[in-house]
Amino acid sequence: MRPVLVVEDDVTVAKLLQVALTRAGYEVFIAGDYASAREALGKDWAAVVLDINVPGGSGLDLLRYLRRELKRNTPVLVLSGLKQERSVAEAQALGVQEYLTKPFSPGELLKRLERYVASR
Amino acid sequence: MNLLLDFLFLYQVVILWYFALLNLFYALFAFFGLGMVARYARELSELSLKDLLEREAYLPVSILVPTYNEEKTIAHSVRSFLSLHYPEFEVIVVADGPKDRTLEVLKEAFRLVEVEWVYRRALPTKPVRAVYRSLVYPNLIVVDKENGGKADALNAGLNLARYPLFCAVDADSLLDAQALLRASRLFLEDDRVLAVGGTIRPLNGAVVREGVVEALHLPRGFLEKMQIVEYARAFFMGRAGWSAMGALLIISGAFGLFRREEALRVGGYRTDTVGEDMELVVRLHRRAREEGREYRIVYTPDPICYTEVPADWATLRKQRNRWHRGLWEVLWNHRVMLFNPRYGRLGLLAMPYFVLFEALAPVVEVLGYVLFPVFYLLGLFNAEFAFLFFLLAVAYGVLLSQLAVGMETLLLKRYPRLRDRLALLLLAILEGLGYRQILAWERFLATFQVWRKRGVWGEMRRKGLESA
Amino acid sequence: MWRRGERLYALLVVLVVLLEALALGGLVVAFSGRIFNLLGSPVAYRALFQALVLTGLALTFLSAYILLYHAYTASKERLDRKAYEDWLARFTEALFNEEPPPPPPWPRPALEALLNLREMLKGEFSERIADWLRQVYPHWIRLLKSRWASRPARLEALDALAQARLPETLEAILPYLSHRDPVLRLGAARAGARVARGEGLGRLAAALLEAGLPRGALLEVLLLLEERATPVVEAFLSRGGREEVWAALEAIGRLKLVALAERVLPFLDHPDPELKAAAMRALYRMRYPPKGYEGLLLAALKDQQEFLRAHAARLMALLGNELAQRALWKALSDPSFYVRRAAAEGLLLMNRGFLARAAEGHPDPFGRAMAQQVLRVAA
Repeated sequence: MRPVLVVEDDVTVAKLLQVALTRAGYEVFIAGDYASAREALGKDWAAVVLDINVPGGSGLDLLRYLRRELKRNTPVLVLSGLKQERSVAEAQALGVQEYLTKPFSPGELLKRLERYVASR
Repeated sequence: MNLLLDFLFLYQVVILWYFALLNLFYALFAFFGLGMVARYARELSELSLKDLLEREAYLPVSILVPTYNEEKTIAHSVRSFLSLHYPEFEVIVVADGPKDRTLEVLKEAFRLVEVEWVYRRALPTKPVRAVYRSLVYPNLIVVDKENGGKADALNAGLNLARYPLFCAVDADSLLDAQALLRASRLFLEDDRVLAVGGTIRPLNGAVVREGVVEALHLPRGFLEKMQIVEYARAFFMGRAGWSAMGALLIISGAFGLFRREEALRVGGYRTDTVGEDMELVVRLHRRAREEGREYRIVYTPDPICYTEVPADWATLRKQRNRWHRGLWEVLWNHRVMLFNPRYGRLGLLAMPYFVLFEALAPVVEVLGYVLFPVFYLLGLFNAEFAFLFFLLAVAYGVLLSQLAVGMETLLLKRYPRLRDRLALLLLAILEGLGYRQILAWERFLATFQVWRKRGVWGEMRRKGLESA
Repeated sequence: MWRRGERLYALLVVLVVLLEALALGGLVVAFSGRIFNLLGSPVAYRALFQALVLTGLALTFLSAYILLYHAYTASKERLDRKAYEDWLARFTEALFNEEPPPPPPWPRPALEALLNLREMLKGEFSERIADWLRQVYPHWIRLLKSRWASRPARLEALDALAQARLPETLEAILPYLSHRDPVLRLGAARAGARVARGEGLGRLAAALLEAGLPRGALLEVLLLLEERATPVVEAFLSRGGREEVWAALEAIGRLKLVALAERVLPFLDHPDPELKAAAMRALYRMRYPPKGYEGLLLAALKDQQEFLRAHAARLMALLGNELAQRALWKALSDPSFYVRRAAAEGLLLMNRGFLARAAEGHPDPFGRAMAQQVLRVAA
């Protein structure tokens, strides 16, 4: 059982990710806002799928928290509606494995996720 | 004696027509305001907002946060500003010579380092002691300056701001995550827009988690509950109405979005008045009209800012006293606009209204109550008549307040509990029976204190935010 | 943010306000008459009483309605949310199982779920959803073609088509670009941008050129087109008015349509300062050096308008040659803060060492300070 944390407040995207990931054999946990996501990051995850605009804070702050304070190198895939270079650059600087934009293809996301989870 | 009777007679006539005109205006506002808000509700495209956020078609914003002694809440507030959902913005906190540990708290919380900063001092302000930047948040700037008042602090922030739009907020404003997006899109869609005001709602009683309002509950305090109704009426029927009529004179200091160049052109905020927020808006109007330019200054209901409202009588009265003095100061400073056709609806409608029905209203009201016993003693008093009249005046006020409560019911983020809804409707009744009168007395006093207390602020006992 | 305001509520409010206006009007007339002794006391009294009763009635009805409305919407929303989640689950399952969806008719929450799925997905899944949507989109087309639909309903239909992104719906959207209502024109423009592709882009461009939209809106539309923008941008540049050209130039920069960079260059010579600035911004965003236009840039650096000088300074840096270096060194003594900053940032881009020399030895003290600041920030 490989646990994956999904940080996403949009109901539709969360559902898509839940179905896609569950079918691929992952155990999915969904955090819909900054506070619960931050709490959840304390646990051990095989991977994190992260949205940037969540209620209560920025996904980038969560990433910062994970990398700099918790000092974990859990594979993180950002799935965001923000296409700006700025956001991409910031995320890359903080150490993300992938930056995917919405609209997205679940198949593509799973393929990339596999790559990182398998290599751990 | 005859003279006295004539005077009293005249007074009755004046009062009657005053009452009639005042309520006609209220009805007009209610009509226009509610119409505007309701139409807005049905036509706002959430999809277009999402598109705006995700692409490069936004205007970057500088958020100016003037702060004085707010060590308990400043870190929390600034963090909530930094986590707004907006593609590009900066937060400029101006510490106006605080006497407490506000600056220290900021330094710790955001890992500030002092920088030698070169910037254009377009507006004169009290000396700036230091400029700090954050090691963690590249879009945060903190300014330490000598005390000069809120307007002075805002001007200092304006000097440092680098983006085409700026947003003036109070340090204890809690902006809805999308407030900036909703307000700034108007500037993008229309070049003529100079300033935008949103809706201010009391934060008291709300359940706040990580800078997000999770649930709205009615606060315990009677005063706080009362202000919920008051603010609903002031915004959905007051500001909305004026905006719909193209004559919006007030954009609240707690949350307002402006074009930076325009504000600089009119000389920034005036530091010698307590009504600096209204004063800037009036000056923007004047300048644009005097130059014969097409422009728009609007209120839109959807950007929401929550702010903590006074929970005790002393602070509330001081606040209302200050607001009323500010109103008089601004009206006096711009008295040239009164009944002046050069200023269109502002001069012919808005300014006279504010003088007669906002500024003078408490005087008329208090005089009314004072004269009741006089009438009684002179035997000109029909107790039943007077009672019914008073009841009608109250009832009409209640009607307007309940309309506002009804408007609040249309919001997606409304007070969800049915019993809270009932409480608000009943509070609307109580508003006219005591609450309004006490505040009218305070505003009456303020009218006579304008000269003495020019530009003087009070202090507010901070209650601290309730959080889950 | 807001619920769809109920028509009934609006009607009630109007009724209440009118009622009150009448009551108070009658009251004022009666009282005035009384004061001037034209009417008897009982008349005035009765007017007062009637006004009071009417107000009381209005209050009661209003409160009751508000409470009922609140309760009704609260439960309706709960049910709608549940319905949405149910339909979302069913559609998602069908999608992943490669089964057909539950057959239409689909209620509103189901349509919302479908549209959101279409919005969030791309690739094969998205196309399958598009096929499902093809069974229901005529409903929105009918709304758009109807003569009696309200404005909010039309806007909703336009938004729905915008999310559905079915190329065949462009036909129904384009006529709205010449609607007399600017709000509908804007909604249609956005919808058209999301829907149009292939040769539909030409038709969209033609319609947009006639729509008379403000430049901010035009820019939004172009950005929505994303990689499909080029034909429309070209049309704007060739045949557009001032607003369209401005939007086109801005979009070229933001979308980085480098293939069109050559067409931007001539605008460096344009008499309109706004367009000149837009061209400069676009070239800067694309990091496209304006070779062959050095003379124009140097002239722009001396322009009266501060913003043109600032843009020119920034663009100059891309040339990366002696000429640019000298020009920017001079620009460090420009009276405008913004020009000095652009010059310093430009020098940083070109040659850090040169900027350091400026920080030490530039004759103008403000220029020196700016150079120092820019160096510090970069560190």
